[in-house]
Amino acid sequence: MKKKKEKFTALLAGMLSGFFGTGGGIPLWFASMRKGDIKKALATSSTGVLLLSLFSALLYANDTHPFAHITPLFLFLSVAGGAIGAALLGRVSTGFLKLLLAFLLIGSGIYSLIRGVHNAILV
Amino acid sequence: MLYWYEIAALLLSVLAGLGVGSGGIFLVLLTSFTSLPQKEAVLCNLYFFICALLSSSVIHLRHKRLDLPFLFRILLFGIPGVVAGRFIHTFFPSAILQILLGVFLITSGIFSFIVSKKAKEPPTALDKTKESSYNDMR
Repeated sequence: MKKKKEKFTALLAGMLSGFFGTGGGIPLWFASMRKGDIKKALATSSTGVLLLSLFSALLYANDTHPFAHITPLFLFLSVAGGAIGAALLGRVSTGFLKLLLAFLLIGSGIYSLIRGVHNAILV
Repeated sequence: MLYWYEIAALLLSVLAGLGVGSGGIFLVLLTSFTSLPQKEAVLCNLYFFICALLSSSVIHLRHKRLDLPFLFRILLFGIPGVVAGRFIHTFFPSAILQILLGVFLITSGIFSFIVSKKAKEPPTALDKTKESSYNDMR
């Protein structure tokens, strides 16, 4: 039963990643947290998102042209930030960060919703 | 010259490396403050995710923090999900995708809020130092 839930979670996370080009981490996190180890859950869910994002990127790159925003500095800073975050895991309280992220996500979501409605009305 | 999205990428990738997540915010920033169409913004966001999470995953692997059987299941069942999600994506116009993204981010934010309240934190290095000092005093 547990494995069936994990399979369903993986499928859901993949669909979110493919559809939005982001996300999938939260269902993976919930599935990983069943075992109780929070560090392992965070590490596994983020690596799971990486694997799904790789395939998503392949599908999106198939019919999308490259653009100037992807500079070497952008790539380097993304890599550096990820390494810093992983090194800080276990040394920094993630509870506060999750709370901060929750507010940022809700704020971004409301903004995206308003823009989407505005653009839909204009069209 | 440093562009704002490069600074945003650095800050958000730290959060991503911590396993807290952040990609949705970067996508909203790209679609709101650049002239990038939705599809290109999504691809840029995915590249950001890949770079941020690749480096953190290597570190997690070195510290043996990964649940490898579960990751295998993610690969096996997640990839068909990605293909299905990408296929369904093509049927929606950009404005509707923005609305759906907004709903998704709000839902993720609420879940993240619930998780931050429920999750029991492991003791950090500072907590262990305090505990050790307390034990010494006793």
